[in-house]
Amino acid sequence: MSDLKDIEGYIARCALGDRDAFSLLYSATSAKLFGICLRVFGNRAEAEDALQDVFVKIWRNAERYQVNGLSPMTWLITIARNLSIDRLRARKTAQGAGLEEADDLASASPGPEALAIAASERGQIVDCMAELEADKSDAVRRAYLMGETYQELADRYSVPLNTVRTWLRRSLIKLKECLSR
Amino acid sequence: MTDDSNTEDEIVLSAEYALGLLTPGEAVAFEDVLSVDPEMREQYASWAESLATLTDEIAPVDPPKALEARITDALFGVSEKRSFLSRLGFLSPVLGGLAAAVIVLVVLGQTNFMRDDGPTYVAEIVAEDSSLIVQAQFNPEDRSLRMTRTAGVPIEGRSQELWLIAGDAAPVSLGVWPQGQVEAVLEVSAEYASLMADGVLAISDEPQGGSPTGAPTGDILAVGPVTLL
Repeated sequence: MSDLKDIEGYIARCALGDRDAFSLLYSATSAKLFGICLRVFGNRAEAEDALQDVFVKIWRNAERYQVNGLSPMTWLITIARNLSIDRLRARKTAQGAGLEEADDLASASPGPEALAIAASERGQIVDCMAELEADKSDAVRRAYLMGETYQELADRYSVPLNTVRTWLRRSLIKLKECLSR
Repeated sequence: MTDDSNTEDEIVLSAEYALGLLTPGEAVAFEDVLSVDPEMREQYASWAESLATLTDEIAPVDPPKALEARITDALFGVSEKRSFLSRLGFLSPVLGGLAAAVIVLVVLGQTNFMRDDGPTYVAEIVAEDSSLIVQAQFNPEDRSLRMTRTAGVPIEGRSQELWLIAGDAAPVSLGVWPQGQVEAVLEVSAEYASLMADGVLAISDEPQGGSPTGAPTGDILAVGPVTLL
């Protein structure tokens, strides 16, 4: 596994049209991103189609990476996750917002600090999720990893929509408090 | 108290956005805030970093071998050089090269650019409708690229940028045409000078001061292959 600096370098070179760097980036990250696509779709055919579009998007948007303030793996993961979930939702229902823009709109300001923040937050979220009640952390995980909406979560836990919204919001604040410690 | 609840709203909103829990209308409204509010962007970035680590529990799976080729075909199936030049409807390089050699000889002969020593490369960078014509002469000795614009003026408030395309590589910028000049001399870096012999020169329309991205962003106005004089 290449380290984050390598991956950041590959993305920067992709932004300049360097196909060798694209190939290196693919080798370094495709298994990770394919795992994410597979988790969302649960079948290889759709996951493969999604991964193709993920890498096309990475190549085309590489020049925007440097200004978006995310650490390189987070940027790549966010593209893979959002594209997969948008596609899954388009198939399932019209509910829930499109996420395609999210990875383009991240912070312009944190810069290199984002890398440090990322490192300190890595691992921490697992501990902080453990501080939430089991069904709450499960809901956050389902929303992120499976793209479940408030309505789907309400159905899953057999609670009214507003109830699930209220307790998930409280959980997010608790999670943030823990992550900021 | 108000500050705290504002902060809580920001935390929740940016998390809901990162999770994709907002309705489309709410998400668009939030994106409007993101575009002008650096604190909110930081808040979002922080959530994006934290949430991305949830994927640590997902095991990597090697995609099928054939997929990489499928992706590169989708991206580069048409060679970049060709697709770049096809934006203009590039003339046959052979014909263009011959015409360039003849015309440049005449033009450069008149303007006394000719030198006796060493090989010299020339190109006529010409628009399909001849609305822009630039004669270029490259001297490998001092890596100077001398150019004269014999037709065409830049659009008001825009710049013209000169590119070198070598083989299948992406265009590299040689520089921005100096404002208000009909002649220009550029010094080409040693790295690019070695690519000049088999290269193609192109001029694109760019925002004032040149392309912000390092790649051509506007229309390709004119192209011409480099040939040995």
